[in-house]
Amino acid sequence: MNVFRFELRRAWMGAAVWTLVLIGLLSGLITAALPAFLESRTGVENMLANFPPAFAAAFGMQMDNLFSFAGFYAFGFLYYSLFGAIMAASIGLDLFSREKRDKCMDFLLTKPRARSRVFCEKLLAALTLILASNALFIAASLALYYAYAPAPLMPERALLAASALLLTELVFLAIGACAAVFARKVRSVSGTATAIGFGGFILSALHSILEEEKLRYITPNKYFDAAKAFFDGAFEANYALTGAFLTLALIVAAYVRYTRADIPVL
Amino acid sequence: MHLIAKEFKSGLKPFLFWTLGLFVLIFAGIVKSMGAMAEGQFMTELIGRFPRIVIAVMGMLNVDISSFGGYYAVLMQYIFVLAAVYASHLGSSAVSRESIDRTYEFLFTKPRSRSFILAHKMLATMAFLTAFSSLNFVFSLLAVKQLTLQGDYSGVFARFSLAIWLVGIVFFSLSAMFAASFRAAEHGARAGNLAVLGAYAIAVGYDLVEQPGLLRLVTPFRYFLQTELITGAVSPLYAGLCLLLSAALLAVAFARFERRDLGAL
Repeated sequence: MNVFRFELRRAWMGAAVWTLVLIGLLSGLITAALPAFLESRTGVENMLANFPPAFAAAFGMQMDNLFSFAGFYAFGFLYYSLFGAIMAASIGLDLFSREKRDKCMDFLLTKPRARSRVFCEKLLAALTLILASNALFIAASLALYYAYAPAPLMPERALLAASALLLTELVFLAIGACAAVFARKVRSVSGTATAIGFGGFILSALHSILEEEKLRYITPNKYFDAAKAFFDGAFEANYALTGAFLTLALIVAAYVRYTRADIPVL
Repeated sequence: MHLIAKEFKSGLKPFLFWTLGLFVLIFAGIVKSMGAMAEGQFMTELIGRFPRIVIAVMGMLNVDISSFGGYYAVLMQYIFVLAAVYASHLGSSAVSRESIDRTYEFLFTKPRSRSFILAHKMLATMAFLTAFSSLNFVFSLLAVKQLTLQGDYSGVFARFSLAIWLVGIVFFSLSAMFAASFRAAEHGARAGNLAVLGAYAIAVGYDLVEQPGLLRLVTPFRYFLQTELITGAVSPLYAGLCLLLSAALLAVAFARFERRDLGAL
């Protein structure tokens, strides 16, 4: 487990900082803005009362969903998933391109360890970091849920919604790992990770503007929808499955490539 | 001139990659705009009366989809982000690429000063940034031809493209400054990328609060507000600020680059 320990030691600091930033963002948004947001409901309702009843009724349907902890959480999820995506992609890129960047691939691969073993230990280290980070994030989400959400509470739905970030991050971890293994050269981990993270963010924004359903199949940030998890108690199966399948396929592709590829010329 | 030609060659592939993203975003966005604009008028009017934070949570802030100009501004929000990430990549790679590739010993033993080399590298990368924002203009013009719209939008497109270029050079110079200031190339690149992310987070904060005050000065993403760009001109005050900021940052970058240890990784 040397590789596992080494990778953890190298990468835990970055993951810890990202986790703190994520939790700070989450609690900052909820403690600072959620009460004001929920209070503004009466104002909006008074305004809507002046409209034709049919219209107000149609809008009223959404009001319960919008003015709730869940509605606000789903709004923030756009940004949590941006940060989480960059974190996960950078962990994937960092771990799987470390020897490539430092030009010491030959050092690692001449050790009496199968490449598949090295790959698995690196993957395990990456998963450990992401799971640990998300355990904290989910705990913070649930704590805030208990503190701020109006009754009735549905903790199992909140748990599912909070784990949407974990699942999204796993997709981005796979993307990052795959990019690291297939790229001929990785010049900057943070640069590539930022590009991947913002790429997903822009795709999800484009999907919101265009409302084109097909686009959602290539938008990792929207495979696991926190709002749906809150309101229906489940993710939409076809997108969730797409996400799961994509993650597995990318990891398998990275594994095959990592275990067979020639070591790049130094 | 060799340097510039060499930089053009090595930067071409990433450039094509980024322009492909730009192309897809603009064409997909503009060609599909008609559907999004259909129900815009009434919704925009209604939503205008909601408290600011409610609009933000509904994802409708700054979204005036009743007109093509408003819709285009929403699209451009994301092009600004795209351009900032690209510019930050350009800035840090202009400074530290040779260190990362370990070719600095070859290049910097040539009879040219460090500033000369850096200036040429920056000219080349700056050309990519300029081409990127010009292509934004060209792609927008081409895409809007696919629609049957009344009126001439080339002025709007030109103003947005100019604003993208101005915001781009700020992030370009900032990343170059970071890359020249940090010992390790990766740390410099990371600082540049975090600056983009941080500026974006502040921009979102700027949208959320009712009275942002000085917050606008902190984030280049809000130097040029879309309402101003659609109706009026590019604010000369903030354009000047962009130029001044990047001149100052580049001056620091050059000063630091002259003294830094090139091989430190």
